[in-house]
Amino acid sequence: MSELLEYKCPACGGKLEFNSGTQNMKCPFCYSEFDVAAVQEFNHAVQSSDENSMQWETSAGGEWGSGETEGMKVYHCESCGAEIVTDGTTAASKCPYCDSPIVMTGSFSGDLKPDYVIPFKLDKKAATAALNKHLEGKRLLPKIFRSDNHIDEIKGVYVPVWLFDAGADANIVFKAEKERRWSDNEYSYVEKSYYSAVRAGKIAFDNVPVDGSTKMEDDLMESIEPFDFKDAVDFQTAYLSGYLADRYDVTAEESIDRANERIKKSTVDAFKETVTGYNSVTTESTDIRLNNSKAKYALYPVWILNTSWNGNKYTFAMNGQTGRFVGNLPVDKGAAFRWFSAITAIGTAVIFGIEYLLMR
Amino acid sequence: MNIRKIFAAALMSVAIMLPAAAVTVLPGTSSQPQFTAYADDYDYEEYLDEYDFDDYDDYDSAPSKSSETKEKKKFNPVKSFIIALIISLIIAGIAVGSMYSKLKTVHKKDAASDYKKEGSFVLENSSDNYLYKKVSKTKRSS
Repeated sequence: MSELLEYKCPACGGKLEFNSGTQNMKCPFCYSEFDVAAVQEFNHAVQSSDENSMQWETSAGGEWGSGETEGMKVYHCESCGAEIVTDGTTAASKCPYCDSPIVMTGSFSGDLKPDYVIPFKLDKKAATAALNKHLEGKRLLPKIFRSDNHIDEIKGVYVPVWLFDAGADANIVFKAEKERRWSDNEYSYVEKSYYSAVRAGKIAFDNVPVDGSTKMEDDLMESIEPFDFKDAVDFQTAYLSGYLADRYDVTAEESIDRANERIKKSTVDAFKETVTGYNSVTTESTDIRLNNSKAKYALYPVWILNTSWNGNKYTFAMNGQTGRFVGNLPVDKGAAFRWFSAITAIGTAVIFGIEYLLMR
Repeated sequence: MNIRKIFAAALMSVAIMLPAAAVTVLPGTSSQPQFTAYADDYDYEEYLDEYDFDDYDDYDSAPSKSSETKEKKKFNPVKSFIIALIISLIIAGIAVGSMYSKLKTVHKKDAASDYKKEGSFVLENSSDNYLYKKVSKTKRSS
């Protein structure tokens, strides 16, 4: 049985036709003409690399040993639904995510035991100092926001994360463009030459974290990255003493898509860096296959502060290992207007004066 | 965003725009020097012999070019104010935009480059093939 061969135009994606006059492939839609061998190679590369295989082994987390969870208590927040775990010696009264009162619902049971924990390296004093520094020099921050902050209510929370390790075999096709400009007496010319750049190879990632709690905002957690896994230790309940621990409510399987997104982006970026000597490079197709992929369950240390102002909730987070502090702040629109007006007025006066001195 | 970089960019734009503004306000201004430090060395005798100044008597009634230039050099406060205002509005916009961006520190991380295993990147195949070219032309303005 004969196979009908169809080649797509690298310029517009239309179906190419063979031009017997020029012995080239011609696109009836954009009228571009291509060498037969180049078109065959481009189509072959694109067809063989338009599917990614990013499967994971997600048997993360372990079973709790007998007596290991003894004394551990679970608190429930009626307001946001968070479930907070503490050890027997730590009491919790307010939810770290929404600052509402929380009630103890009983002893801890079920759930997976974390494989690893990164213990807190920075204490509450460092967290409050970081918050004060975060508020410094913010000219558009409402003054009252600074004075109304409940800095003492900053809480140390172990946030559940799924960590993904994988090697990646990649075959990526880029479309690269070179530009040449020249002119004669009558016209200016721009010549754009297009190339197909095929790159294949390997890359590996270790401990790509994905937030395992819906209560902790994903972008907030990603903003305080990176965490250094070198400090991670096998999980022991003793590390929970004095801190709160959030229970995961996003499974490892549900976190795969986010891990794949980040790994794919970094893999493409790494290979794209090798396509040099062009004016622009775009990704045409990707074929990324993961190997030795596995997930782990860990607890990461985060200092969290929630505060409300003008009916809006503001959450700040500090990486309990590195001290990186983030949190969006409100804007004082009046201050913004005052600054804009003052700079405009002073700038106008200064520039007007310079113009006068130059031209008189 | 680094506020220093923004201010540097703003100052550079002022530095670029000011001379342009000066030329706009003073169309007669030329970049060529009117006098040179070598005026004393100039051979005026040779110059006067070479040219017959009687040919220029007909032009005595017409306004001299230098007086026209003097008129154009006059400071135009309205034009200057508008230029100063536009530049200041741009600077103020950049400065307040930078102050605003300092309040927003939460951003999604799209990549996992922080977790790349050291020395794991191996490029096994690399080929670049020419596909096609397109040439466009635009008529030059005379």
